[in-house]
Amino acid sequence: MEFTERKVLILVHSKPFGKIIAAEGWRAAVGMFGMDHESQLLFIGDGVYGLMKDQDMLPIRMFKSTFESFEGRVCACKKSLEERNIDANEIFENVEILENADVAKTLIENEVVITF
Amino acid sequence: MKYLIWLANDCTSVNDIVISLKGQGIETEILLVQDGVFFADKGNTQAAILKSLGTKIHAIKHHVEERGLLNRLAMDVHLVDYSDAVDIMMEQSEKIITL
Repeated sequence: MEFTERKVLILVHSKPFGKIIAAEGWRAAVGMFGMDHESQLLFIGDGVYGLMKDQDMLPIRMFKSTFESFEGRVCACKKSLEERNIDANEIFENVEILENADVAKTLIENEVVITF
Repeated sequence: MKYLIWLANDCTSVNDIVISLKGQGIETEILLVQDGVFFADKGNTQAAILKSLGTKIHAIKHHVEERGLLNRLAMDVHLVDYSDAVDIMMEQSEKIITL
């Protein structure tokens, strides 16, 4: 079967730490680049807790630095942040904070959406 | 163009996503599976949110029945069996978004 590069959205809406699901979202995002696909991360709902600067970085440190080395886009849903009273300075640097319309555009632009 | 939103165990952000997709000209339908069928129960606060979206809601009949919710649905739900569900996913939907 011939290879086709795809735009893949990794949608993370699980809270970090309680289960490994959210961290696996980072792993999948890196894995996509490893397979020559272009992946993008979007944190929404409770998933935005996974962007807190002060969290224990052990589960995602390696994935995050590798993903950034590929210049992968990390996005967060503005409404989800506001609902949880999370300020922009509490989350990682270089996170694009998206209005709902841009969240929709992200879902449309990516051919595949994989949820964690 | 129509997307299908698959709800199995969570319901946060579904209204934001449905409304903002509609703003981009994308119609959506919802498929409730497993514990997602609880969101259609009349005792669930999320039911009002789903109802207000005005989008078509499907649910796996077996999952509704096994939870004893058949006579407790808070809105008009299209009950489907597994083959219908596969048809909705594979034939009638352009993209599936799991929430």
